[in-house]
Amino acid sequence: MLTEQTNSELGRHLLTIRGVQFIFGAQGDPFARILRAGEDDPLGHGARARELGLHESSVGAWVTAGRDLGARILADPRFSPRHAEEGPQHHPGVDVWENPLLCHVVPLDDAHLNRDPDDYRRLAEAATELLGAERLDARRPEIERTCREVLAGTGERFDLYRDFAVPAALRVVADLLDLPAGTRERLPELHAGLATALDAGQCPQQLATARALLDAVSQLSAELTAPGGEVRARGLAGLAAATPEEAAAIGALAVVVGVEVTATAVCNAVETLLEHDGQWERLAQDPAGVPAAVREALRLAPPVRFESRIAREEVELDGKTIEAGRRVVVLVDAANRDPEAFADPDAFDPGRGDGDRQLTLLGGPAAPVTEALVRVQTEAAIRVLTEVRPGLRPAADVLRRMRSAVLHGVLRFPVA
Amino acid sequence: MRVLLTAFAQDAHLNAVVPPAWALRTAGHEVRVASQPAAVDGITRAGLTAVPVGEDHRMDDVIRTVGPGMLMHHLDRDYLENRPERLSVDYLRASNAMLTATFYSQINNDSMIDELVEYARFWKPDLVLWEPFTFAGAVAAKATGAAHARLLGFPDLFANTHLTLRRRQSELPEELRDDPLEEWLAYTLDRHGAAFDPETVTGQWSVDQMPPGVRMELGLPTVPMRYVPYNGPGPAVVPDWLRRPPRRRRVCLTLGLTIRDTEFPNAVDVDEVFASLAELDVEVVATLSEKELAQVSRVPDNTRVVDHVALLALLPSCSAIVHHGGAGTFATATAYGVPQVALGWMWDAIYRAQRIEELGAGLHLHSEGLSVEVLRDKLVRVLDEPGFRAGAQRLRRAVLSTPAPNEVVPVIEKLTARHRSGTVAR
Repeated sequence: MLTEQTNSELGRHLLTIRGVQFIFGAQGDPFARILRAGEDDPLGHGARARELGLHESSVGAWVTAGRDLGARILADPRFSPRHAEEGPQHHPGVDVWENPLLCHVVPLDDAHLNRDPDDYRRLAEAATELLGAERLDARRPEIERTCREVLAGTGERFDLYRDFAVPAALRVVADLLDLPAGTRERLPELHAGLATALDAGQCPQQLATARALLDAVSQLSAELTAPGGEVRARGLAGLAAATPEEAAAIGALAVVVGVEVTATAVCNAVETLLEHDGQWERLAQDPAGVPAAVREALRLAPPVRFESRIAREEVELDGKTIEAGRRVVVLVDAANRDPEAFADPDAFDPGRGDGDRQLTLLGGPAAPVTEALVRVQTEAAIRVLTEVRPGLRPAADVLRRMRSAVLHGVLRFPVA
Repeated sequence: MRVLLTAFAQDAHLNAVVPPAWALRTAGHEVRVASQPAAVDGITRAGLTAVPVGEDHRMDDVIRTVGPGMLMHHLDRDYLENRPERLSVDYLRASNAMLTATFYSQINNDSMIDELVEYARFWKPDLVLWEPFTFAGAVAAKATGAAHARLLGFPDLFANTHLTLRRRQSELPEELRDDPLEEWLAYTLDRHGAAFDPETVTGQWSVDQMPPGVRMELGLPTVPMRYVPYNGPGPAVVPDWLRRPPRRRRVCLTLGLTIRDTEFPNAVDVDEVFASLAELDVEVVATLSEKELAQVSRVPDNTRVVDHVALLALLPSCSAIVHHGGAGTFATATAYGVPQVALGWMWDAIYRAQRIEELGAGLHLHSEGLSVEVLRDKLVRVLDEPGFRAGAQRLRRAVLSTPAPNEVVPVIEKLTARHRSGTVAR
């Protein structure tokens, strides 16, 4: 669904929501500060949010940074990415001064990021043959070969995000879906527009960025589905259990989540590993340690920093009543460091016994479909990088995108 | 020539438009003053020709929601005291995002901008003179090829902050530059077939009514113009009691007019102020509305309370003024050489009050620091130390030595001819 809004209408909508985030941020609201995505430390705001317990943010959301409550919310089908009412998930005409309905900032239904939990489970089942964990485990050698080839094309000094993580993920996803040649060629450009998809629904982007995203989403739909309704990619057409609509949705998620969330996860994992003395070298000598190390790195630096859901009906949580239609936010990065759930929560410890309690969702609400795709690619990337570049070091500070409250998306990550 | 002046509907901001509008008028030019419908009465009371455009803005509704957050952010001393170079890019961005979303784009509502452009297309002004927050004026000028300039009635703190952000961001990679003000103006201009340039924010030049020493030097083309007091659309009448000299030294107390009909929390505890003045051997004239007076428990014997008197009639008889820090009150006091005790804590009030101190024309008292003793001490100093009267007179001479609006008109004519695009058919 491409918005009908004019630039002035969309621009004012984005501007107003951004203004509200700044205004309430100035009054100290932790979630508003997180949405501002400024230079201040989001984990500090998360820690303050945790002290408040389940609380109502002035930007119109119930917020928790506790691990246990967060886990309950994320497992509860009454909390969905979409409102109970049918129709497009977007609130263009709403007067945010009267009603801070600040979710679904831009219409992203066609990126398939606003579906019901049941829907995602059904899609995951239908995608098993392509994106299921076992299937992708079997394709590890192929994925690692792609990573190796992309890495071979880089110089002594290169940009981890632009020269490695993104091109490798683009190739892996294109190969898996078996995209037609034309789509494969256009994929890098499409990805440039789609990179903000997970952020743009929560945090208003600049107008040109929002337009580029909405254009890319509708182009992606057109690339994946022929006018007659049949799926264009052979990998998707081969999914016997999926209707053409489901197959197209699976393909869209593989592109939207499978590239940018993977690239973010790879960069976060490398950054975290390099920050902890000896970890990189240890993996170079012991590749079997990669899965545990990646899991621990993505606990400390999850690629999707918070999860936003809507209560589809009235729900009692910790003695508080969440009314139907209200937004509920789980601050995953803060919950992953909840001292009540994790021993020495800020320490990097791949062997920790409580590592599986983390709330990191590789793909946000779509994780049932995309989790294995992101995880297997990230592990493959780290395995290849530690093996081929055991002496890898950051060559400058990681530069992150602005207004990227959800992903902390990477712009540049110079390494040598 | 045809001159279209515009200011968003709020008296304090329209007042600064009136004297130059009259100067242009009496020089033989055609003059129109455009604003939201709520301002029509005020414009016509000033004897000027009003063009109501669009629907009334909703600034007051919005301020009820956002006022506390907006002010909280802008309490930083480096902001209030005009040291933007010490503020972080993050801070400057937050300020820009808040002001654009909750103030600039509210007082320049879409229907107001669109009808102003429509009117400019119809009337074809040679020049649009706009109040510095009323960017609609720049949009109308750029859409029609008219020359355009800002008409400053207060120190240019806001432009300075924005220019600082732009300068600082120019050192960043392009993907990290964020300027909601530019973005809003760009798509607004685009709606009318025009494109953004930095002059959309600063004007092609600025007519600045601040005296030297208070005027900010931002390196922008500036035409200094003398501030000529005009105190708003309330009737300017010289009452009986202002037709003879006061028996004792007279002190004016005013909290300004804006607080009477907007939501800005600019409150000063009047009881405390009155208590400071009660024991002094002075005659106090306090301008207080019924609502303000209702908050007062006791009016001292030496105090005359009036609902309204034009400051231009009152201040020539005063030995000092205690005020809330507003732009018009400050400017009128400087024009009559009256030593000031300036309260205030937000926006440009502190900057202005500090300049007064520096120039020896009065003292600053941050509203938070207001107490009976502190205010009394400051007022006694301002009244008794001859230096303050001398400083205020120096400032008055600086005001009077600035070219009067009539003398500035020929400069405006020349600049208009230079900047006006030749492509507009007449």
